[in-house]
Amino acid sequence: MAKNDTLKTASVLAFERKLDPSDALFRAGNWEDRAQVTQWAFIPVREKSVRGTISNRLKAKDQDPLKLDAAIENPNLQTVDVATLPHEADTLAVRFTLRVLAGAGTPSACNDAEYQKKLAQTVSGYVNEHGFDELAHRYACNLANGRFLWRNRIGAEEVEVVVSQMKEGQPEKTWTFNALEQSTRDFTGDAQTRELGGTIAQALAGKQYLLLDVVAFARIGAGQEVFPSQELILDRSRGDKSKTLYSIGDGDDKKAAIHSQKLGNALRTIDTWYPVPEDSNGLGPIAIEPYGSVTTQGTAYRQPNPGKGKEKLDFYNLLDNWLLKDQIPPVDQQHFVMATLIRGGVFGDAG
Amino acid sequence: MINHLLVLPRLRIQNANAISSPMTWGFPAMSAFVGVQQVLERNLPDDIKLVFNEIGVVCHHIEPQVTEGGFIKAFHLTRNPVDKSGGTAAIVEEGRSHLEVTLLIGVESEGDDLSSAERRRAIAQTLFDQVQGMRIAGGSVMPAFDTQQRNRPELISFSATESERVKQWRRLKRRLLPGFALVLRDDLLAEHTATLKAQDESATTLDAWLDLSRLNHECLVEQVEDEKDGKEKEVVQWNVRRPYRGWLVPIPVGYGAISDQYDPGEVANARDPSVPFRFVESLYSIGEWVSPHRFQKPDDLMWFVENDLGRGIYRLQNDYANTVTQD
Repeated sequence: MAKNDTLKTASVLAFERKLDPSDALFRAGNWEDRAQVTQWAFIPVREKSVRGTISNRLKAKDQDPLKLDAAIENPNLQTVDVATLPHEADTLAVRFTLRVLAGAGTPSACNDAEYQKKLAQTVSGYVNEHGFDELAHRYACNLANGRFLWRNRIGAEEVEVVVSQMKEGQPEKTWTFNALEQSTRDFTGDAQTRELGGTIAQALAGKQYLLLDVVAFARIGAGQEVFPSQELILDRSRGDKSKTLYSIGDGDDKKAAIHSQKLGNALRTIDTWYPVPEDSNGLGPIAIEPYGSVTTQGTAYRQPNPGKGKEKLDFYNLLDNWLLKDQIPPVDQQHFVMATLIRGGVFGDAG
Repeated sequence: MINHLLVLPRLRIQNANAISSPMTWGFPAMSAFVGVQQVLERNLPDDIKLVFNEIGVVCHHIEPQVTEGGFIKAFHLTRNPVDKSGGTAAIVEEGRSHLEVTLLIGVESEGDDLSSAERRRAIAQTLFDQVQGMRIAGGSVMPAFDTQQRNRPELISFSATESERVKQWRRLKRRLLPGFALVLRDDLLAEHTATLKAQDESATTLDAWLDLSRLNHECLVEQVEDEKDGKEKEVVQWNVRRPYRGWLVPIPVGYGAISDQYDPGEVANARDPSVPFRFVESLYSIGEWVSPHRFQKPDDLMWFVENDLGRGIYRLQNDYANTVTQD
């Protein structure tokens, strides 16, 4: 290999995620008995079969009344998975653990020593100037506001989140948040979230990993449906279940759960630094993604080629300018780049 | 002869890789666990002076993320965030499974005092904490549900007297139940190849491997005399043919070279430019899941690296078959 003086991006460059949530298990109980959450029963995933009706938008040729009557006479039978609270319990408890690993910004694989040295300098420069306080506080806010409950948070009467720092299986320190009082749109936080954020920041920068045990209680109402993750299954044969929910355990012991990836996405929904399109009125934070992609809207807010006169604010452009061209991005975008490294991924340049 | 055994009990691993090789799926490949042993050894704190020789794995629980029902299973996949144009990102098939395993690592002292129980406890706890922050077979290690006494990490020093050793091993075996340990059965593969060759000259090891990997239903036609009128008649029976007892599975056991060895840095874009480089393919063999109470000694379930550089073979070995055939 010819040595040249210009620094190039390593062809193999990968980062491990530093916020590593476990799957979240669902339990059901009463709001008053929150202290005994470990005795609450798990929520099972069950199957149900429904006779649906034809309600999809019809093509013009199918809109003939006779044809439509004939179509509606054919039942639209479906088998789906469902999970609900039992009729004597009004509260859903979602419990997971979160590992915060040390060594943010250190690649797990890198095949270019020069590049790795420059990266280490850049990261330590960022840490010395800002520390991980801003990012960690935002992660703490997302724990406090219960964003990780996703659809289960909507319409809940009361939501409480209890975060404990674990040491050898015992809670060492506990924070309790009223999640509905915490904003999901901004990250001002309060004294408690700042304290929790400080703990997370120390772990990101430190040597020891931190283990948080998170329990969220959502008072939804007795018998109401709850929403675990849905499984993605390709090549489903006809007549199979059309909706499979995520569950842990086998046979008759299926406990409803949320995927760890989904929790991780909620926790890293801290990107308020993306370029806001002119015609929109504030979307709130989006998840940390290299191209700022938002699945529910089918758009990517950090375009690598945004057009004339606009800045290129996607992760790869920011990182390359910062490392290879020594153009230090604005502070906000530095936060974004570091958050992407904490998220992890494979960022090598195969050329 | 293992003198010291590090026991890391009941590690819960989430989303470990369930595609162990191009041809097999299920439990992660043994090379993943040997990798864990190497990482642990490389990251040892300066004050712990140990050498790691071999590793054994006992699986207590496995939950592959696959569809239920039917003969053909499909992996549960993940939908990844949209790409830069807002379209759906390509779905790459990944197999995942949740595991609960106990790792047994054979260690030797290199200047560390393993005679004091205090020191042994400290080392075991340090390494256990280190594993908690690691990834195993691509999955995250999750904290255990309970921290009872039996689920504490331990560094066992086996006694010099035979009877005491047996007692210690027996005590440890009880802690490993319920579960199964993976061992190597190269001998069965060789034997079965010979059996098939006797029936058909053109049979290969691959045929034997595939034959051992599945259930073979075979039809037997018997001539039976009818009780009423004494006439011969044919009775058809379908049986499952199982040439060997035990729970046999096809497993990858290492890598075989398919190119020359290149010097460090000679191949562009290699993962690590400071080590020699070689293209390889997976090697397969037959493994057996054995319940720990059947092992006479800890050496039987241990795996270690045994390379044959002359033939370009990088593989893992396990001595269980020798023990069994000698008895």
